[in-house]
Amino acid sequence: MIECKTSKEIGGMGHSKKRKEDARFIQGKGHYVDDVKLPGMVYMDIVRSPYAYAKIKKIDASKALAIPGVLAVVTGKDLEQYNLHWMPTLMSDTQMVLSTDTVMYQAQEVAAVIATDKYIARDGRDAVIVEYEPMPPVMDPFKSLDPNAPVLRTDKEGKTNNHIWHWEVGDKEKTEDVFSQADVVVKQQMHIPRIHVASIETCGCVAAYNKVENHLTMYMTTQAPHAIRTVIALVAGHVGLTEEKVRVISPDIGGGFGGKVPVYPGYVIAIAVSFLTGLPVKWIEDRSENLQADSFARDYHITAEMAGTKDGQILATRFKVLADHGYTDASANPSKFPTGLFSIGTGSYNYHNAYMEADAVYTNKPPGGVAYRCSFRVTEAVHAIERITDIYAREIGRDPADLRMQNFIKKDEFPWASPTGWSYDSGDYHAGLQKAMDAIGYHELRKEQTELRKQGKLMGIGISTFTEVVGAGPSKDFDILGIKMFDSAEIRVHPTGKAIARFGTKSQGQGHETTYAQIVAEELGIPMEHIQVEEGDTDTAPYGLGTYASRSTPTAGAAAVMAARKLRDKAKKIAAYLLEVSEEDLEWEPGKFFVKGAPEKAKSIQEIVFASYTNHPPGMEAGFEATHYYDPPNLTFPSGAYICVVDVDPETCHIKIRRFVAIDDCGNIINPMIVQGQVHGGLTQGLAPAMYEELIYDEAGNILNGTFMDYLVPTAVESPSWETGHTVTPSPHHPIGAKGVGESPTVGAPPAIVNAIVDAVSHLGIKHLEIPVTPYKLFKELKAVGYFK
Amino acid sequence: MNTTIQKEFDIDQPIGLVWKALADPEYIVTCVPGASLTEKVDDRNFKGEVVAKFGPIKAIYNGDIEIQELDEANHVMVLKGKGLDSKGKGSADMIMNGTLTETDGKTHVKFSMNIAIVGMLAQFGSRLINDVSDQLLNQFVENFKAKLAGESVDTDLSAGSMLGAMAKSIFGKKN
Amino acid sequence: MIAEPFNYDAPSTLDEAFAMLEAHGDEAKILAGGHSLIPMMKLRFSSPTHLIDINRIPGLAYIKEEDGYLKIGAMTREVDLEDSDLIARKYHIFKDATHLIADPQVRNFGTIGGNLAHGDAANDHPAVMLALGAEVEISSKEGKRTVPIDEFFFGFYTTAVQPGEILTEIRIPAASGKYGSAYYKVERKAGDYAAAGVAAMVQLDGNGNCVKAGIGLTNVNPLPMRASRSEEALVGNQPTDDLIELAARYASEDCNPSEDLRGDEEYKRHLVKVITKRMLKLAIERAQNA
Repeated sequence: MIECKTSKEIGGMGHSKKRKEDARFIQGKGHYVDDVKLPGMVYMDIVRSPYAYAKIKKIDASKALAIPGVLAVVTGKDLEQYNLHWMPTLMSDTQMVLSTDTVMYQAQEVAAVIATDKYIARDGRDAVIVEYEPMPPVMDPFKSLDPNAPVLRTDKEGKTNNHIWHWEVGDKEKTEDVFSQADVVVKQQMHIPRIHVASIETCGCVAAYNKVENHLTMYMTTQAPHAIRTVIALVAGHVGLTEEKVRVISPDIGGGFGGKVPVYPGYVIAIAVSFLTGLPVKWIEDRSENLQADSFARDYHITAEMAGTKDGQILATRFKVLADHGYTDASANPSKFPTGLFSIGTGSYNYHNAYMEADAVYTNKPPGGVAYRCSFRVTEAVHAIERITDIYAREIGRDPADLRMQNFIKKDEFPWASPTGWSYDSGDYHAGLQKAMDAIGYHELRKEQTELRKQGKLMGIGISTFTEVVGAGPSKDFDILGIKMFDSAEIRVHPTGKAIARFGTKSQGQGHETTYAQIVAEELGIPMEHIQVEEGDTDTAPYGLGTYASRSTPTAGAAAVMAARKLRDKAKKIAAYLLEVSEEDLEWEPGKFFVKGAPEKAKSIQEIVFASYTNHPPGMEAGFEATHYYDPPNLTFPSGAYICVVDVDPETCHIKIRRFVAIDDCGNIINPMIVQGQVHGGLTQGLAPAMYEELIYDEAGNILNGTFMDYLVPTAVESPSWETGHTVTPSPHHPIGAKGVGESPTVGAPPAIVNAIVDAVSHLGIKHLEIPVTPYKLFKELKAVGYFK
Repeated sequence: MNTTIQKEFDIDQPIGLVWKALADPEYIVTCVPGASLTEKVDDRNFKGEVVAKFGPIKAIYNGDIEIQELDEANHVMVLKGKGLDSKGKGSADMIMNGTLTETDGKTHVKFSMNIAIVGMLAQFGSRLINDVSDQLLNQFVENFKAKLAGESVDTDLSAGSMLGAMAKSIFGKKN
Repeated sequence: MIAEPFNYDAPSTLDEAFAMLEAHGDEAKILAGGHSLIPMMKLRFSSPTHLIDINRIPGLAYIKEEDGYLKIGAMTREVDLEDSDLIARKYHIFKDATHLIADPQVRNFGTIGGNLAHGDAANDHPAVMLALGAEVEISSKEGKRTVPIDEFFFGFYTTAVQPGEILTEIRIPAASGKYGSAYYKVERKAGDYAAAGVAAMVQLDGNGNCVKAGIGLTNVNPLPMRASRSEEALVGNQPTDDLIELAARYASEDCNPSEDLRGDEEYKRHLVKVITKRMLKLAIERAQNA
């Protein structure tokens, strides 16, 4: 059980408070970008390329312009006049806003139609006739590196191949030595497929440029409003849109998951059109546009190797990655981390030698990739280490739980210096796995499995014991476009003791309005109901880099604590003044200061705040406000132990998840109910790539599943009843010992599920299965090993 | 996406007649459901239009047809077709190889079609393309046989309504 | 996802609907539940110029046994089939099938008539109707005609329903004696079209011999398909495991599945065999308990 320091009325940390934001969401009163309606607003729709790789020969807009209500058709040539036809990506690559000559992927933006309503805009879109000269696309990232492959980025001077960058970490030679001398070496090629965040709300914006004021208000589905404002100012400063002339408002967001971090061409076109016309321009993607054109996630081809002893001691790992980035590297990683935090892939195990390398290539696919509910490529890393660990266990005939127990970093070995350079803050991996094994009845299940196999039934048990790395990040290493990845909080307490707290982050469903209020309540003793949380307006919120990669609690949450503690220090001074005692004589309990030994002599926080406006001590600044910019000293390292049990139909290959136990350790917990909700959602988003989701392209460059008809997002029907629990190992460096939890389940679930499925069929000769493991894929694999005649 | 369809059928007509018909785009087009020629560019190049209709679905393709090979001595032909969706949502490329052989005064026709589809139809229609192409081809064969046998073929009918016409004839309804 | 412009009418009687259909010819489409037609329109695959919404015409939604038939009004919602006591008691196949049709939101509005009249071999009711030996009543201003289900499907999205006509009722020979039916499909997730689906109906005599058998297949053939050879193998015989195995094999051999994202031909034939076997066994078990 979680101990709470505050009363239920105050509702600080540990209380399962209902989410404050839900009142409006469940009544349909949320305010999303598509709810923004401005006088004179016009609508934009986008003409997209049916080809993956083609020259544009001609764009004929005459038929579209003849439709009553179609106001304009904007092409790349129009934007070129203002040098807005290309834009930088967050990874210092370049991306077309509207193509002037070549299209590089199917569904790429070719022209924009502006009309008086969205229906006419869509009719106009279909009436724009574009003549293309198709070219054979490069769809296979391995073939993209072939010396004979066409060079895709001919726009880049001197570019002679499709290679983007090379990255490596670890001691290559030492690792090779260990591998060459090891008794056991296992190796597996695996693909973490291209998937999509598929948030229920698609992307969109309303760009409203006021010509008289020379001011742009940008309502936009963005997870990082401040960063976007800076980017707009950097890109459009030359036409007069300097940073103080730009206001970005991120209203309620219906799911972000990393897909709402990048700047998409549609935003830029809308801004350009509004800038030129002075009219507000609304652009809202439809579902297929969102799936087909917006940033993908994952798409790593990994060769994973593990070296170890015959008795199960892991000695070293080696990962080699080929990253398919589509036609431009539009990832949203911290600048110095082209593979994100993939180097966390040595996992939860205490060995000392690892080497990882990655190469990125261009193909004729949409650009990306974003960190889909994942702290920058951690999902890929965890999949590789947790799969190869299972393969190693099987190779030497060891139980996978037992082998993990043998190799875990021990509780007293923290801080742990990983061979790829991380300093893990804290963890208790043995306790987590033991708890999960007890919860699911691991040893009984193994006995049952033996019995079922005798009857020809297929049942499997899979484990994933992962270490996450979140909370980017310390300014010495982490920046985006040079801006350090701190985050911020500003707390203003009004005279009557009620507060507004503003943050540089932006909730997309995480429940910030509740959890931040609880953090402030914990520190100041003001009831959380009386703390209004506001985010997403760059004119009012303090600067921060936004919400993604489970960073809100580790960074902005910590900033809230620090700001509140500044206020508590001030409160103490005021209380001492009011009670006419010295500060040393005062003691704090949530909600009041009292005189040591005389608890009846007390001042409540509300009284103190009131005094700060009405009767503040001489020489002290009036008011009750504080701001803090928190630069974390380290990242946080949440962990988890997940066990999955599957039953596989031996005839149809239908896979049913019988049970799934998830024991998470996210440090101290702010709101257990929100954490549980986060874990449920995250597990379902981990189930998705394990068994359902993958963006599929054919050789001609067509996306074959560009709608929810074929892009299979699991629903409640597919989801098992998740069983959750936790261990609590506080982060030693975070002011409230919290670590962040949003992405752990998404990161940890896929290998648990796949390990279970492989376990169910391993005795039939199956060593590995690529995700998503569909019944069809399993059938083909079982056929290949002779199980089906 | 790509699909290859192979068809073989016998026609109770001499090879000379069948060849002459098959090698004449202006003749052939009248057997293709929903198709019409709009322009003869030269002896080997033609422009046309195909209206495909399946129940509520209607798509119009504007196309070019090129006769790439016409080997009368061996009765081998290669046709290349290129169709563009009238709304710019994609295209279809087709290469058709046809061979005729004669036995006992009957003609055996064998052809294979490779169809490559790009754009919206490939994205959304993948589950239908094989079956739809096959259905269209079967109708073409029926029409072709009927026309060579001197029966009339309703060239205006699109695929869907042709089936409707069959239904009408079965149930004796007039419309 | 916005449809092209269209006109919308909502007649309140069948006669009004017929007049509208006549006025607009084959550019008009009937709107029932809309769960097939509207997605097609929003993707702009389909652009009828007139939609005639028959949801406001009374008297087209019912489930009743009458004159030796189970009669189902064309506008009966899937959810009503799912919840009907009569269906639950005697026609298990509908319970099986409706439960697997999409999701509750779709079932709340989708209709059995629309599911059939859409003419898609991937829909579930066509196979069910083949298995049950249904007839379809089609109405027009000239009157009503009845079409056996085997003569109903003609091609993609093409059925015996002609311009000017509306499908109004489905009739299924009433269950009697030792009658059992079952349906199952393998789908990638809820709401997907079937990778393969099988509908089975059997009637047994006092000795346990099969006197009637119906097997319909979903989405493994260009048209909804009856597994005739399987049915013939069963009728007149004791449905032993070996015979069921044989019938299942016939079904898997006789269908014509196409490869798509759901699987290749081999996998789908395999599924047809497995599901046919299972559904026959389930239908027989239900018949024995009837």
